This record gives sequence, C-alpha cells and structure tokens, in this order.
Amino acid sequence: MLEIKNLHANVDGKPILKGITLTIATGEVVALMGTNGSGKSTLSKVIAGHPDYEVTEGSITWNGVDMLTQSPEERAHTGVFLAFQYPVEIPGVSTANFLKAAVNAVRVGRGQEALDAYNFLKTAREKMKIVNMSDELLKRPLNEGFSGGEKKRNEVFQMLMLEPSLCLLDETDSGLDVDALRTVASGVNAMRNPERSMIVITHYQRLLDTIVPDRTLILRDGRIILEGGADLAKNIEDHGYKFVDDQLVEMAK
Amino acid sequence: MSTDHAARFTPSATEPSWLWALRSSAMESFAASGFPTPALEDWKHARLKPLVGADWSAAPQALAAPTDLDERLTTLPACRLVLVDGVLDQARSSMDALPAGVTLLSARAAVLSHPELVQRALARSADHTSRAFVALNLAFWTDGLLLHVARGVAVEQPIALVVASSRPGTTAVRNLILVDDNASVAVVEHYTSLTADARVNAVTEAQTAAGARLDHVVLQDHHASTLHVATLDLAQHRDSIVNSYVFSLGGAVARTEIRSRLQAPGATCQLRGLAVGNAKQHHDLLTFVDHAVTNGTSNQAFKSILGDRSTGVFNGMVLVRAGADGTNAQQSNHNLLLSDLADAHARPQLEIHTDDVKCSHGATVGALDAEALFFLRSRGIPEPHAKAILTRAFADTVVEGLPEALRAPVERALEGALR
Repeated sequence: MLEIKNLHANVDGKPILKGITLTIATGEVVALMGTNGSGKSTLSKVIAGHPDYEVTEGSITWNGVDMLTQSPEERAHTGVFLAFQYPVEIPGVSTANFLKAAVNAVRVGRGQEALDAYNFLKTAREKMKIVNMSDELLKRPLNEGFSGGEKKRNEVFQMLMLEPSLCLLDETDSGLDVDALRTVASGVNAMRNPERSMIVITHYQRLLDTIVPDRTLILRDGRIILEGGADLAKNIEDHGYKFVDDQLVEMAK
Repeated sequence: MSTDHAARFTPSATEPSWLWALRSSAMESFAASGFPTPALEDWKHARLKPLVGADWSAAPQALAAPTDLDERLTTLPACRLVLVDGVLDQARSSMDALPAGVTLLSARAAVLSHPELVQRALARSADHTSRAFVALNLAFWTDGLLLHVARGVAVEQPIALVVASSRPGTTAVRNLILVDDNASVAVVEHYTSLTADARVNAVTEAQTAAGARLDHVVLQDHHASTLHVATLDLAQHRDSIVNSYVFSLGGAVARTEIRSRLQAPGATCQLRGLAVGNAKQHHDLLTFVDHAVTNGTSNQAFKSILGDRSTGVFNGMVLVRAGADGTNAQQSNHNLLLSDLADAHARPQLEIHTDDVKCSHGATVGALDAEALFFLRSRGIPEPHAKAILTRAFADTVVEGLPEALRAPVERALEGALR
C-alpha cells in the first residue's frame, strides 16, 4: 500500500506540490489527470526519488517503509518503477548491457539470484514480444535513434523485465500512434495483477480505454482537487477540465 | 639545480658520423632554446615545473629483467618489439612472420643495417630546432622502432611496440615509420612503467606515401609518478589516410603532441584521443594539423575524463594555408569532470587563410548528465555503478573506432584507469 501524507515538494526552490494526501491500495490502478503544470510529473518523480525535487513537508510510505530516506535505486529494489515521459538517450551504452545491469541490480536488491547471460536474453526476448519490439534494439545504444514509439515501448519493456510492484506511468501514451498506443496499453495491462499498484498519468482517455482505472484523481496547482471513478476520465475527455470546475461548483453548493 | 644536459652528451664510438652530426645539431638547438616557458603559446596551462627540472639525458645500459612485464603484454599483438629502459629485449620481441616487403627492427640496429631507411625518416618530419623535447630526444635516443612497409603491401597483423621502464631514470626512444605508396599497416605503441620516478621522452615520425594508410595507437598507462613527454609527427602525402589514437591514462605529467602535415592533396587525417585523470595527474595534449594543400580532410575528436584533483589541457590548432581550397577540418574536445576539484582547459583554434573550406570546432566541459544518472538509478542500478556506466559510455566514442585487433589492450588499460 502506498501512503502519501500532506506532501509538499519544491523544484529550484519553487513549490510545486502543495499538500498531497493519497492512499493507493495494493493491486489498485489509479489514473492521475490534470492540466500541464499541475504537478503530475513532479509527483511521480518525487515518488521515484529524483534528487532535484526537494520534499519540504509530509511523508511517503510504501508498505509501511519510509521511502523518503531511500535512494532512487533502493526504491527500485523495493518495487518502484517510473516509466519516463521523456526516456533518456544514453549513447555508448547498449540497451542489453544497461538492462542486464538493471535487472541483476534489482534481483540482487530483492535477494534473488542474478540472471546469467542465457537466461537474461531468453527472458528479454519473451518480454519484447509482448510490446512488439525487435530484439535488434537490444544491441543499439539505449534509446539513441529510437523513434518516440520505440522509446515508450522500451519503457514498458523495462517495466516487464523489472517486475515492479508500484508502476508510475508518466504520459506513456504521449507521442504514440494508434497501433503503438494499443501495444503499450496492452503491455501495461498484461502486468495488472492483485499484487501490483499503478499510477497512470495521462491527458487522454484513450489509454484508459484499455487500462481501466479503479479511480481517477484530478491534480491542480499541486493538490488533488477531485476524485472519481473511471467515468471521471471519460467526462474530462468529453467536456474538458470545465467538467472539473462544474463538479467543484456543484460540490460547493 | 637543473641538469646540465650538454655535459651528459657524449659521442658514441659505434654510431656513424651522420647520426652524430644530427645529434650534435639537436644538442645545439636545445642549448640555444632551453626548456619551454609558460609564455610560449604551445605550453599554455602546461605543468612545466617537473618537466623542466628533470634530467632527460639517457644512455644505453644493461638490459634489466623485469618479471612483472609479461603480464602486461598478454593482450598485445604477437608481433612486437619490446624495449626495456630503452634497450631492445630480444627474448620478449617477436619480429618474424611478417610478409615480404616489411622491414621491422630496432632503430638502433637499423642505423647500421638499414642506414638509408633511417636517414629517410629520422629528423624529417619532427622539427627539433624549435622544440626542446624533440631536440633532447634526438640528442639522447637509445633505440626505438623502425618500420618500413614497401609499396602496395597490406600488413594484416598489427605491430606492437612496448616501451617499458623498469628503473628510475629517463628512457628516450625514437620511432620511425615509413609506409610507402598504397601500403597499409597498424601500429600500437604501449608505454608503461613498472617503477616509480621513470621518465619517458618518445618521438615517433611517420610518413605515409601516396594512397598509404596508417592506423596508429599510442597507449600509456604509466606509474602515477612517471613524467611522459611524447610527440607524434606525421607527414602525409597524396590521398594517404592516418587514423591516430592516443590514450593517456597514467603518469604524473603526460604531455602529448600530435603534429600532422597534409602536404599533398587529398590526404585524410583522423585524430582521436582520450585522457583519464585521477589523483593529481596532469594530461596535456597539443595538436597541430597543417592543411598545406588542397582537398585535405582532418577530423579531431579528443576527450578527457578528469577525477579527483586531476587537470587536462587541450590545445588544438588547425591551420589552413592560403590555397588549401577544399579543406574539410573538424575539431572537437569534450571534457567530463568527475570531481569539483578537477579542471579542464580547452583551446580549440582555427586559423584559416583561404575561403573554400569547411571548418568547425567546439569544446565542452561538464559533469555527468544528471537526468541519465537518475534514469539508471531509477532502474535499480546503484549510483557508483551508474556513474561508471556513464563514464565508460563517454569514453566509448573514442574506443569504438579502434581497429578490432588493437581494442583489447586499450580496453584493459582503460578498465584499470577508470577503476
């Protein structure tokens, strides 16, 4: 279970998160929506432990463990995975070498045995099929020269390989054509199970057609201002954020 | 008190008079010019003090028998010439099994057996009149490599020169490489010291004739106290290709000069280099690419990885002379600082005296990319390992172009330097 209490965070001294309180149960899938600058990406990066984001108040615990004292790598070992909105290109590091280092660091961190080269490749090939990636990409430098779609598929592929228990998907649907979106969404959906929680950050309903969330949260100016079911995302798609404003007015009455 | 080099300069009974005349003129040049000063453009930011204070004289001596050298040679090509303290180590050298048309032997032996080849190369492309360390080298060199590849011969196996210092003091080597028309060869020079307080003054002169190709790698992984001064002088003829790599990994002060003269049309010169600094190491690299005639191509890409309190200097000059139309010259220098106390000085320079050219240069100094580092850590890779991955990746663009057969020794030394 993820428990966030009164979370405040700054970037470059500027407050972005202004008191977020949120509980996500084990196995729950939550959609996080909101306009640009509302703090969605910041929240995901704070949970993953980005050093540029300074937590000034509040707490985050994952299954009762205080995450804020953990390094990004320790969080990954305990099950956190952030699918980046803009995956980083790293020339000079092959995708295979990077991923093998990551998988084995996580496995060792979780008290499992490291995979040998044969089993790593075997697993990688299986998982790549799920997101329709060619295993030729394993040899290429990480994300370098990858198309937008390849980069996002690569994120989901890494998620499949690292088997996290808390998935943070930061606009994994942006920049994808319809086919790539379907592939990515079904890849994510394939991971859905009662032991795995997910926060799906998106602007669009189309990803949520496949990954139907248990709940939808609306973020504005660093706070959660509205909560609803899967239909809330649909209503925003149809009516824009004016729908949120109307709801708030309704609730204030 | 600085060393009186002239007093240590004594004639050898076994050397021919023409060589003695050259050595004497070099000694006179040095006596006239003395050591460089920081006021000289070529020595800006150099760490001159330890260099100027040292004794650079060298004399042939008895061959030492270091036991810890063989382990360092395992990844080097089988065809090799090994010098220990500037003396040929016959037992460790293997110079047979080369195709017809290849002459490979110690430069000292070649003075007597192949004087015409030595005279074709020695003091031809490396000017000693204005360069103190080249002059000192010419006055004092004890041995080196002589390689001649005859017209049209493509040498498949790479050739290694090992210059090992097994005791304190100066090793002065002069290497002479002549690649005739349409011939090709790959050479790796490996400088290594097995002891503290060694000094190396190395000069390599290489001439590539029309259509010839030379792949040339210099690797130095000296002891942390070594003073290393090395010069590579290239004279390139029509349509010849030189791919040069320098890996400056060890030493207290390591100064490398690469000078290339594209003296006939259509020559291509690619210079690559990587310096890795730890502790208080100082790596100083100077390049000078002289586009003397038309349609030359030069491409320089140098990098440094500087940790602790180490410093790196890059003085890169491209000169495009009047009339050298169709020149294409590129130059880049990228420096990665792994510590707040490390420092890099980058001075890429272009001097262009004609219009019809394509030239570019650029330099950067920076730390590891914070987003890339976070990306790797967010995937569970511990910070020290993530930094090591990114640091190695930074070096990769230099390593990746190496001829396949010469990768292993470089990879091995690099692994040691990057720890």
